[in-house]
Amino acid sequence: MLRDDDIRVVLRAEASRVRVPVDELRERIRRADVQPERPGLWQRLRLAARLEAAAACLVLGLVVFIGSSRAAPQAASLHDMLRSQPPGQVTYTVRVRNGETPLSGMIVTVVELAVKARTSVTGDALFTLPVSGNEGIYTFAVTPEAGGYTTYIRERISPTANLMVIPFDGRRQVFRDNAKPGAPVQPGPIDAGAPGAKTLLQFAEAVTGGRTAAAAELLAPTLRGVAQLNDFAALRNTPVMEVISLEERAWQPDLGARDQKVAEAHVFEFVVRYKVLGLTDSSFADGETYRHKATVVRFTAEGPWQITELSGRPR
Amino acid sequence: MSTAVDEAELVRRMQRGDSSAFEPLYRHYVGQAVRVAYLITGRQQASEDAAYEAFVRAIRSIHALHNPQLFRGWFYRLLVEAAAQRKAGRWSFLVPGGGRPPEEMSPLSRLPEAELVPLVLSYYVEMSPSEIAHLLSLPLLMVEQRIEHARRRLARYLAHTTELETGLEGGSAGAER
Repeated sequence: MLRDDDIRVVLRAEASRVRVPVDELRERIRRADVQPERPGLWQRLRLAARLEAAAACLVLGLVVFIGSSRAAPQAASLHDMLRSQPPGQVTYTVRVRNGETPLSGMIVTVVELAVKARTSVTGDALFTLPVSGNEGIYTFAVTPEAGGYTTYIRERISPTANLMVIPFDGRRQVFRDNAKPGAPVQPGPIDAGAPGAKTLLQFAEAVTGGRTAAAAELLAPTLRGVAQLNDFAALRNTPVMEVISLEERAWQPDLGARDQKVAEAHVFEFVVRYKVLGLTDSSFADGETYRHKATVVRFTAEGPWQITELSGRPR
Repeated sequence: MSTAVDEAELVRRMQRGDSSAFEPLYRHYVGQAVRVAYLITGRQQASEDAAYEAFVRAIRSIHALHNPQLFRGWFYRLLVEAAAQRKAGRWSFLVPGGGRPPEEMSPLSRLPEAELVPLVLSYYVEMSPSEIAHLLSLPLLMVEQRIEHARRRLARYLAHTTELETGLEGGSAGAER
């Protein structure tokens, strides 16, 4: 068994590898020109009420201390304090389709908030939803205006996961819980016609076909350089990239390097199921499905599409 | 910064709008913040970005911290969240071990994030299990178990590498998970 000091030695040795750019980081923070956000009146009242209740529980469970500004913070947990930060909001789009056809005039309800919206001609319904800690879980119900079966989908939303396509099936009631860890993944649309989308599909094909060099050619130099460090072992270690869905998203592109100039960039949600051989320390699990954010760019107007970003996590 | 009282006073000054109070706090935490983030993410750029985000979030939300004495735990929570997001956020299967050759891969990269974070907070930041439980919003028992699991896993991995290095075993060279 390792002694405590051995662990400390391992951690210190590992930590000593990193460079601490004190001045550069300070400059980045200074350039960001961040200002403290003052809590709003409602938040202050809500927090005061919570702190008073916590103090009361500590003393007798009956007496409410009003204006006890010293005892209360000790009673409130750190978790409570973090939760008391002003809630953020996410503008969320629900896109209802039947195959490739957008369905307009459908009623989309956010069940938890009892908020409704009607889909536009493009099949979109827009909501502004509160999120806590950058994330929220909501159930979206889609029903035809004239009534009938409803499709319920429970989904995890965040500023980066701000759009969901619901394939509506008017012949039956559907309930799907995508927010549950390990929820099964339904095959979704593959938007091969979008600019740059073919590059991602070609990449998956090349990896699956064992054409490592061809796959590497589709990566932008920064990402290719990273993969090359290990002689593309990770690409060779992936016999199957099964594309589950591919859809363009209005997310912020990651261009791979600061101040990188590109002629065109498109961002996709790229859902892939992997088979890996386990020969390297892959962060992917065999048979698991991952939802990637993928950025595909063209450095010049006529240049080839290249992948600058493939990030993501298990669904 | 010698005591927690000084730190709390700096936080109060920041909350009163005195932006000059940030610099001593920054100097005190920046080195440790980048190193802790590196222990979690295993990558230079990700650790810088995580530290940057933690400082920015700390400045923005400084009014949400109602007990300035708790700044340390609060800041590390922001840092751990930012680092954990970055650890999961890159297509890291391209670069097992964060871009290093396999022989230089950190034993920490073998630990699951759920065990790595309590281990780092316990043995590198020197927080008590109850502080970590508070910070991660986890039951104390679970934190203790995770630290123990991480210790065992690390011990197994280090023993395994030692065996390989000394050539005592010529068999499997597969990475232990």
